[in-house]
Amino acid sequence: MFFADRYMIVIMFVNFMIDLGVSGLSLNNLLSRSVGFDYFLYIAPGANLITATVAAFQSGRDVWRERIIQDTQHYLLTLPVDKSTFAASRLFSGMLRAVVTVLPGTVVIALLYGLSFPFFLVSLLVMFVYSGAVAGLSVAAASMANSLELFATVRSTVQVYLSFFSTQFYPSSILPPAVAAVSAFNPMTWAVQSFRALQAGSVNLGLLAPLAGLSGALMVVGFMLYRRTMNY
Amino acid sequence: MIEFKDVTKSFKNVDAVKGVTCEIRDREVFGLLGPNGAGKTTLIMTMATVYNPTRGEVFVEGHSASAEPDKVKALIGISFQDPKYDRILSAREILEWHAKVTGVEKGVREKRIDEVLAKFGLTGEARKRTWTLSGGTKKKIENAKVFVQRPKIAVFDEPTAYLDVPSRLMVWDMIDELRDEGSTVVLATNMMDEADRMSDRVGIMSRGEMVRVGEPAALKGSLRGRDVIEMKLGVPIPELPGEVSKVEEVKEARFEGDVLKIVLSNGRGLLPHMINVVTAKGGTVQSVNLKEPSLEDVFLYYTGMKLS
Repeated sequence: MFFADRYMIVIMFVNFMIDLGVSGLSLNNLLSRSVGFDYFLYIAPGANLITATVAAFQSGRDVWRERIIQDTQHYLLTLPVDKSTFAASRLFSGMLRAVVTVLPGTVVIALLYGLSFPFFLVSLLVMFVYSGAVAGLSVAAASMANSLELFATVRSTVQVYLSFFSTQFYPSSILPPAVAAVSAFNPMTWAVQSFRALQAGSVNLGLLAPLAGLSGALMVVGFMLYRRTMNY
Repeated sequence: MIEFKDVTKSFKNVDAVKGVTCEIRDREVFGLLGPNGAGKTTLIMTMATVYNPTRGEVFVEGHSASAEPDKVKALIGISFQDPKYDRILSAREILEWHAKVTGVEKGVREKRIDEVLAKFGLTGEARKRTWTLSGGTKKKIENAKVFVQRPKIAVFDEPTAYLDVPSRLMVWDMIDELRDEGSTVVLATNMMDEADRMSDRVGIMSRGEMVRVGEPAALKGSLRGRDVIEMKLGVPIPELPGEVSKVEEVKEARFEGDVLKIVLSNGRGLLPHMINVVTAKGGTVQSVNLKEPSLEDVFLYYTGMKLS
C-alpha cells in the first residue's frame, strides 16, 4: 500500500534520467566552458532532488485525497490512532517514500561522484531531510487549500520556488542579489550544496544544519496545519 | 453502555444536534432513525470522537469521548453510509489494513477476512482495485470492515443501502451474530422495516433533537388511535375528505391518487361506517385496507413529516 502507485519508482527514475541526460548533457556542452566547471556533475544532484520533490509532494496529495477527493478523513479519525501520530506519520511516510523513490538516481550520482559507501549513506540522509521540507510544504498546502485549483497553483509555486530560487542551477555568486538572498531560505539550496560537498570529499555540517533547520520548521508548519484540519 | 448527556454540536450558527440525552444499553441493537439532515451522522461522529461536542458529553463504557478519545476509539468500529476507503486499494488490502490498525490479532486476521469475503461473495473480487467495482460491492466492503473488526460497539450507517435482497438479509444476519457475540450495535437507517426487524430499541431524531426513544412495539402502541383506512375508489371525489372528516374520530383525510387515506381512532369499529359515508356520496369502493400503526407511522408522526 505504501507504493499503491505501483510504477512510481520506475516512472520517477525515468524522469530523473531524462532530466539528467537531456538537460544535464545539453546544458553541459553549452555552459561548462563559460562557468569553468563540469556543469553536468554540478546539475546532477538537482535532478535527483527534483525527483525527490515530486515523490515527497505525494504526502500532500495523500492529504488532499483524504480530505477532499476520497473524503476518508472521518473514517481515519475513528481509528485507534492518536491524531498527532497520524499527522507525523503522513510526513514521515512522505520522506521515506521519497528516499526509496530516488534510491536508483542516488546510486547513479554516487557512481558519477565516486562516493564511498559511508558518503552514499550521507547522500541518502540529505535526501531524507530535504524530503521532510517538501512533505511539510505539501501537507501545509493540502491542509489549507479547499479547491483543486488552489492546491495545484500552490504546488506549482512551490516547485518554482525550490528550483529557480535556489542554487540548483547556478551558484549563488552569479544569481541576482535578490534571488541569492531568497535562496538562503530554500531547502533545495542547502540540500544540493550538501550533496556537492560530498563530491569534494567532506560532510559539511555547516550546510547540513541549515537544511535540517529549514526542514524541521516546514515539517512543524505542515504538522500543525494538518493537525488543525482534524479538529471538528 | 453509551451515554449522551445534553449533547449539542453546532457548526458555525447551525445546531446539527441539540441537547440530546439518551442511553444505549450493552448488547442491544439501537436503531437511530431520522430524516436526512436530522443529525444522526453528527451524533455518531460525536460518539466516535471525530466531532467535539459544543456542549454536553458522551460517555462510552464510562470513558469520556472528549477526554479519553483513544480509549473510546479502541471500542468502536464504524461502517459509513458512503464507503470511506482509498479506492485505489483492493478489498483485501482495505480489510487487512483496517484489521491491523484496529488491533485484530495477526493469527485470526486472515481467517476472518477470508470468512467475511466469502460470506459477501467477494472472494473472486478481493484483489481488484475497488474503484472498478459496483456501488453495491463497495458498500459490502464498507460493511465488511466492521465484521472483520468485530468491535465492542459496532456502528452501521445505512448498512443495506445499495444492496440487493440476498445481501441485505446476509447483513442483517451478520449484525445479529455480532450482537449475539456481545457487541452493542448502533444502526442508523431510513429503512423502517430494517429498524423494526433489527432493533431492540429505536431513537427517533428530528431537526437535531432526539424526539422519542423506546422499543418499536411500545412506540407503535403509543400511536394507538391513529389507524389508517385506505380506500381505493373508482373515481376520486374531491369533497370526500371533508365529508369523512365530519366524523369525530377522524383526524386526517386526504386523497393520494385515487386512494382515500383516512387517519382515525378505532378504525376497525368505524370501517363499515366509513364505507357507508363514501358510498352515500357516490363513491365506488374497489378495495379497502385497514392499517394499524407501523414504525413508519411512528417515524412520520414524531418527526412531524407528512405521509407520502
